[in-house]
Amino acid sequence: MIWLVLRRYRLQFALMLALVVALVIWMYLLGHAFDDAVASAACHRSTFGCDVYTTLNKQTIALNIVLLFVPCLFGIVFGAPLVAGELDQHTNRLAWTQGISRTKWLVLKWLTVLVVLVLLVTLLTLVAQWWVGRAYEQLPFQLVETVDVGQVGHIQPQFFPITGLAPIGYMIFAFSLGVASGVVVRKVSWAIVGTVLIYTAVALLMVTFIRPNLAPRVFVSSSGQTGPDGAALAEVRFGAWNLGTAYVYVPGAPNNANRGSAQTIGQHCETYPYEGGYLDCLNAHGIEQGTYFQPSTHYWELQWWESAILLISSILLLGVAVAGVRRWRA
Amino acid sequence: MTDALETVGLGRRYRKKWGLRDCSLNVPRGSITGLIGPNGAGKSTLLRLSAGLSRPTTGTVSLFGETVRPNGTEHLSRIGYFDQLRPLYGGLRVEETLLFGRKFNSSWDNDAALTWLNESKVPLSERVDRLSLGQQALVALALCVGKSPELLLLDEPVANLDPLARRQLLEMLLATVAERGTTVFLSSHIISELEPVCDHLIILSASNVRVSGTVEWFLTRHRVVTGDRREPLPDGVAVISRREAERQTTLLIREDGGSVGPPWRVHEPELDEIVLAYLSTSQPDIPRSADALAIPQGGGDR
Repeated sequence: MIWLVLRRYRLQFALMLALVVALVIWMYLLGHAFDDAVASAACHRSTFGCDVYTTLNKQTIALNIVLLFVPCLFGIVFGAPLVAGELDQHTNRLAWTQGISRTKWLVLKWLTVLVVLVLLVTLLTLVAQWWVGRAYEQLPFQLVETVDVGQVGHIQPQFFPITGLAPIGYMIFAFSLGVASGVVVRKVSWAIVGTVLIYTAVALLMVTFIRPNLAPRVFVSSSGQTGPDGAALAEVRFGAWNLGTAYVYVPGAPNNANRGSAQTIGQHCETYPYEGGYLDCLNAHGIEQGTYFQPSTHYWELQWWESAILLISSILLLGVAVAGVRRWRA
Repeated sequence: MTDALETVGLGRRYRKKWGLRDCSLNVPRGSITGLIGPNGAGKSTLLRLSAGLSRPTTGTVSLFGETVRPNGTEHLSRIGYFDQLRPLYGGLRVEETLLFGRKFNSSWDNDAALTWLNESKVPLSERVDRLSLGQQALVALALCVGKSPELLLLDEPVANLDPLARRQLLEMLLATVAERGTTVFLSSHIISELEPVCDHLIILSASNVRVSGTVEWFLTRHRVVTGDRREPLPDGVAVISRREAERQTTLLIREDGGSVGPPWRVHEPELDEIVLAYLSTSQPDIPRSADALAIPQGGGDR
């Protein structure tokens, strides 16, 4: 089985290896371009007169987008045709009348492809981990402030899925999704469409609703400029993932009898001009505005949880595929 | 002795239409049984069900007395299945296809497969998708031969082949199975393809078995009789098909115990006439199967 999979997909494996190598080279060059920019005097103090950042920034965004799609690409190239391709060519009738059970056939095929893909993605991710660090985290702090605080840190939504464990999780998920959709719709083309749609939906769901809650969020008050335990706002914010502003009750503020939702009251206060009553309104209700963060220290906790969710989903999808293949239709 | 293949009330429904319905038949061990029927009669459905590729909607399939279980693998080593579409991994070379056979089967007779390919002069180093249709069929059969099965299920093995390739394939097949006493169940919609090789025949039409028996039984028990249409037929004679002219009638009859003599003019029909009579008749009252009759099991003279 292992031999057959490696033999039949050797062209695809070679192409994907070429892609990974090309991306690694790109990341290497871009990473070192950042090194040079940081070393240059012009860029040391401010972005003013530092055009190189603009150029590098564009490249960084382009490379970033490509890297985000790699797991999904693997899912399409290897997952969708894994079973549906054989159904299209009717070669399943050949494989299923030899001496091996369908379950073994599918699971071995799945595992063999997966091991190769995990190796490829691991190589890519190790370099991406280094590159994301190079790209922004070594910039002088003032410069970071002026560039955009949301660009710093592996935990940012554009970097999180391409670093740490997440790329492997996403790749396994995309691949299993491709296999399962291939079994369900029995056509490679429709399996590809299904994989892309569902994968995109899951990735968006993950970043908007699930990931922010995988570890306790940290609230930083705007007025006090301090976070929990008196941590300076800047300190918490640096390399943290900004989850957006919110209103909360000030801890220890006089307890109002019929307190509503702090968020509702805050929005009511926003109807006053900032200088003319807004702050008074907040004080009167004992609420304050601030920002929720996932600080950079939570990076690995989020990575573990998200990868675990993706891995469990993948195993469920494999179960769907096995059940479909065992249903005896040829 | 149990039959190589036995189906009881076998049916398979595709959405609304039945591909095969209430089909009971048996393929005796050691026989070469031909399955004949028009396109769409359910031949491929029957063979896929027999190979355990497809799940029966009703009824059961037994191979050598053992019921084929859903997702079972026990029967797989005993059968060699040749699909109508001859699926092969197109990107593999012929020798790699043999390696596939070896890796996917616990008992694999590589010499047999190699001998088969050498005899058929298929180049081992050629990619499968660059071979002619005839050579692809030979490679697909080499996979069946390498499994050294007890039962070969061949769906339209010689369709789309030129007459020379057809004869070569069937001759090699007969030689190979004769050596080992393999049971062969092969389908076709052309009787002339089956007649030279089969000793048993099953006629399938409209998703159902019309009749089955040995070729010898078909030839000795069926007669074409011509005579006055008002003349009564003796008992124990079933009319399979009837052609009326002005005053005289021509019947293809089966002698189920009775026999027809003068004043009828009697002659012996060819096998294809008999098959055609069964396929064209719509008479519901003829017995569907000749199983009730004493058919010599095992195929007699092979």
